[in-house]
Amino acid sequence: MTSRRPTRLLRRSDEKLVQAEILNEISRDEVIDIHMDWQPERLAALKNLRSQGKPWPENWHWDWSTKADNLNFLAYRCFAVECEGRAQGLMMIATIGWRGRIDNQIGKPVLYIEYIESAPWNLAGLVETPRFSGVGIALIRTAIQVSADEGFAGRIALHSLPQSQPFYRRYMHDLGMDASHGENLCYFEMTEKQANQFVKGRPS
Amino acid sequence: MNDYAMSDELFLERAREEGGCMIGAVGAGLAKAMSSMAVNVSLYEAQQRSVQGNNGAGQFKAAKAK
Repeated sequence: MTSRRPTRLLRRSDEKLVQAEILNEISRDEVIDIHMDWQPERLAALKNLRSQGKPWPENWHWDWSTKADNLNFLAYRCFAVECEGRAQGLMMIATIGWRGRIDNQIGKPVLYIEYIESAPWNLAGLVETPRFSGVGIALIRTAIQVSADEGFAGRIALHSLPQSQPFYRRYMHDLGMDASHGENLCYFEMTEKQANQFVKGRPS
Repeated sequence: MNDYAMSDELFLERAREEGGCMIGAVGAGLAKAMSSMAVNVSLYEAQQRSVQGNNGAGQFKAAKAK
């Protein structure tokens, strides 16, 4: 059952922090509903990019209404961040089956972020002024908390799309291209120490 | 158990660092699902349909992965 926890986002129109909520354990159908809500603005932004001759973000060929059927949702837990009545970001995690790869946490369980994305209207380059910032921060902080709740000490990992690597490189170890990943994406891991730095702003 | 709460001040600092940058990540399971036959949508086609106004109820025809 979906539960809600308070968080906040930075509203860019007035640079103020506003109340938001993390929706825990949302259903497959809710994930699809959110993507259907995002789709018209995605297409409008795509049309705008095409008219300007700019490249498309890599993940914009995704169609959740079809791919959800190919994904075993039972293996994942889904979270959304909601503000002003709409989902501003989505994240899907797995807490089983992933082990650390970097030296000081090899073999230790890590929370794996299978998917994370911000709503199209929050992306610079697609819209003149993103509506909210901090969507990624709120979701990554949630992943760290879930990791801790699972006994993983805040350790998390993910495969970043190329356009997102600078964001993750600030906070996580970059282990380079992962040939074992189907899309040959860069693999990132966050250690317990980095998790503490992320949420506290200092080493633990 | 560690409480990974974040102060408003640090959240604000981190959110400004984030700006409007992409946060996209996709794992092996999802990549496999997406690369399966018939799950990659042709956005060009979708866009054309949208422009032409014949995209039905907003559902876009899936195209086989190239």
